[in-house]
Amino acid sequence: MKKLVALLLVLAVTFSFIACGEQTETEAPSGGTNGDEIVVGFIGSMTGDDEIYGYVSWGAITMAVDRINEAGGVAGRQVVLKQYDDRADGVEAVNCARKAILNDGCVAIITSSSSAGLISINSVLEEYKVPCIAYAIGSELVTQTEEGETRPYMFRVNTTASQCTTVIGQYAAEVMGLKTAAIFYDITRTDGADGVEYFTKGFEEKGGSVVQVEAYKSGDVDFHAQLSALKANGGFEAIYSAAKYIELGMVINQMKEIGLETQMIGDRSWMMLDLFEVVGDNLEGAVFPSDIDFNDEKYADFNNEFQELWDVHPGVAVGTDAYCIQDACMILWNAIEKVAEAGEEITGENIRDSIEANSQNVECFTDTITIDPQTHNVRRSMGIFEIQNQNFVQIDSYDVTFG
Amino acid sequence: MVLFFQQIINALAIGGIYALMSVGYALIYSLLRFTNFAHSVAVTFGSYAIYVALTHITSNFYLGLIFGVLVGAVIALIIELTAYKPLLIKNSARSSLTIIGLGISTIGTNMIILIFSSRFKVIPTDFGGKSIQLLGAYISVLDIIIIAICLVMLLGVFLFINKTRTGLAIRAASHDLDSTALMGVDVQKFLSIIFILAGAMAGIAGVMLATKYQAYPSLATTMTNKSFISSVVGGLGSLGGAVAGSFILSTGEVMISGYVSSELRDLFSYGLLILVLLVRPYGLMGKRFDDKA
Repeated sequence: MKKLVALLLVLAVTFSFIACGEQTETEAPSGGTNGDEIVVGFIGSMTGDDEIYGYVSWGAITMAVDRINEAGGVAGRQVVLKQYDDRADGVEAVNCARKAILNDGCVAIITSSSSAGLISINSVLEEYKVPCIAYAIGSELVTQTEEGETRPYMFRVNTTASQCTTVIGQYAAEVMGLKTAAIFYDITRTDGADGVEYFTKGFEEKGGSVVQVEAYKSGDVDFHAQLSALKANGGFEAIYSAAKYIELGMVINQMKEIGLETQMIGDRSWMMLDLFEVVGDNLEGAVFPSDIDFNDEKYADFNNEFQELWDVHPGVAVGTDAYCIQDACMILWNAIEKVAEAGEEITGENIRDSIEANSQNVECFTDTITIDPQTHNVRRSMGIFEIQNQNFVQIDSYDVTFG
Repeated sequence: MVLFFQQIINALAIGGIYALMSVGYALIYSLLRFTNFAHSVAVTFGSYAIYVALTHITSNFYLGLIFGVLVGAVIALIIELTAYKPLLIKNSARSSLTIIGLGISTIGTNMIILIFSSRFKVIPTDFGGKSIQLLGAYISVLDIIIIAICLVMLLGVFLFINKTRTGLAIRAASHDLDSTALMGVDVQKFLSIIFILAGAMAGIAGVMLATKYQAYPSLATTMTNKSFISSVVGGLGSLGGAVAGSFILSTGEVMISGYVSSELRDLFSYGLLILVLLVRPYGLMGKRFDDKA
C-alpha cells in the first residue's frame, strides 16, 4: 500500500512538473506592465564572494528607480524593480533571467552578471524578446557573437575591452614612450584574455613590444613564483595587469616583497576606493583607464546620499558600477519614453527597438552616451588616470568610438 | 641560480602554511578515518579572528595570533561536539561525517560573508612589504616569521604526539579506536583534544594566510584544497607524511609556475593526487587502512 501511495505521489509530482513546463514554454511574457507599473529586473551577485558588487549596484539602481518614480515615473508609469541573485554564476544567471521574464513579467533587465552569465542569458532574452543592458563587463562577446553578429537583445553602456584596453596600450607606447612591456593576467577570465589581446594590439600598434606574458588563475593567492620569473627574465619597462579587487592587492604587495619595481599599467577595475587600503603607496605612478572618476565633484551629492542610505561609499569595490548602472537606467527610461510617445505598447520587443533607434547622445548620469545600433556598444568618453599620493588624478581623456 | 633560490624560499613559505593545515587533516584522519572538510571553517575563522583582534582588541600581532589560535580551536571543538559527535554516537558511516563536513564548510563561508561581507580585510601589521636580501633573493620578513612559527608549531605537535602520555594514548587509539573504547578509555576526550589541536593549527594557518594575503571569505577554501592534496600525497593519517606532502606540493607548484607555466600548476597538483592514489593509495608515508565508509 505504501509503495502504491509513493508511486502515485511520484506520478503526481512528475505530471505537475510537466504541466508547469508546458505552461512556461508556451506562455508569452506578460508584457511587463502590471496595470500602471513597468517591471524591470536587476540581476547581480547578492550573495557569495562577489556580494559587495551586487550590494553596491542594487543600492545604486534602487536610487535611480526611486528618483524616476518621485519625478512621476517613466511615461507616466511607476517603475517596479525586482532583484535576482545570480551568485556570479553563469547558469544561475539564466535561471534568474527566466524567472524575471516569466514569473515577474520584466520588460527589461539590467545586470552586472559575469561575461559568461551575460553570454548565456542571450538565448533567454531572444526567446522572450526582452532587452538587457550591461554596465560592468568589457568582453566583446557579450554584445557580439564569435562570428561578429550583434546579439539583438543585449546592449551595454560601459566601454568594451577593445575600447579601453586598446587605448591604454596605445597611451603607454605613444604618450608614456614605453618600448617594452610585460603582461600579467588571469588566464581563467574572459577579460584577462581580452586584456592580453587588446593591450598588445594597442601597444604594438604604436611601436611598443610585449616581451613577456605570465598568467595566474582566479582564486590564486600566491603569485611569488610567476613574479619572480618575470623579474629574473626582465627586459621590460612596465607591466600591464588587469588584476582585480582581491588579486590586485596581493600582486602589488608581493611584487614589492621580491623587489620587483617597475611602471604599472592597469585596468579600469583599479578605480576603487578599497585600492589604497590594500596597496598603500605601492602603486604610486601607475596609470589605468576608467570610464568615470568617482571623485569628480559632480558626483558629490550622489556619493553622500549613497553613503547615507547604504552605509558605504559607492566606489568601494568596483568604483564604476554604481555610476554606470545609472546610465543603464537612463538609457532604458529614454527608450521607454520614446515607445510611449510613439503610441506603442510597452513591451520588451518595442523597448529593444527603441534602445537601438533612440539611444543617440542621451544625457546620462556620467556622460552623453550613444549606443551604436550596429554593435550595441557604447560611444562615450573615458579617462586615463594616474595614481598620485594615493589619489586618482585624471591625466588625459579620450572619446572612444564604437567597438 | 638566484631565481632558483628565490623559488625555494617561495615554496618554503607556502609549504609551511600548507603543512599547518594538512597536519590538521592528518590528525583527525588518524583517529576517525575520515577527511574533515569542515577544517576550512576553523582556518577561515582564524583569519578573521586576527583581523578582529588587531582592529578592535590589540595592536600586538602575537596577541592577535594567540586569539586566532584560540578561535580556531574553539570553532573546531564546536564542530566536533555539535556535528560529528552525534553521528559517531549513532555509529554512522564515515561517509556521513565527510558529507556533513562539506555542508559545514559551505555554511561557515556564508556565515563569514553575513558577518563581515565579502570585502577583503587587510590585517594591520608592520610587516607589509618588508624584505631582506639573501644571496640575491628577497625574503619577506613575514615569510621568515611564517616559516619559523610553522616549524615551531609542527615540532610542538610532533613532541606532543610522540613524547607525552596523552599523545601515547592518542597514538594507541589511532590504531583501533573502537577497541580502545571497549577497553574503557575515554575516547571522546581524545577526540576533543585532537579537534582542538587541529583547530589550533588551522587557526594559526588562518592568521598566517590573512596576514600574508588579506582575509576574505573563500581564502581558506582555496588553500585547504591544496593542503588536503598534500595530506593525501603524504599519506592520510600520517603527520610526517602531511608535512612532506605539503613541501613536495608547494615546491612542485612553485617550480612549475616559475619555470614552465602557471597554466600547468594545477595540472601538476591534481595529477600528483591522481598518480599517488593510483600507484600508492595510502600515500608516501601512510599506513594501509580498511575503508570504513
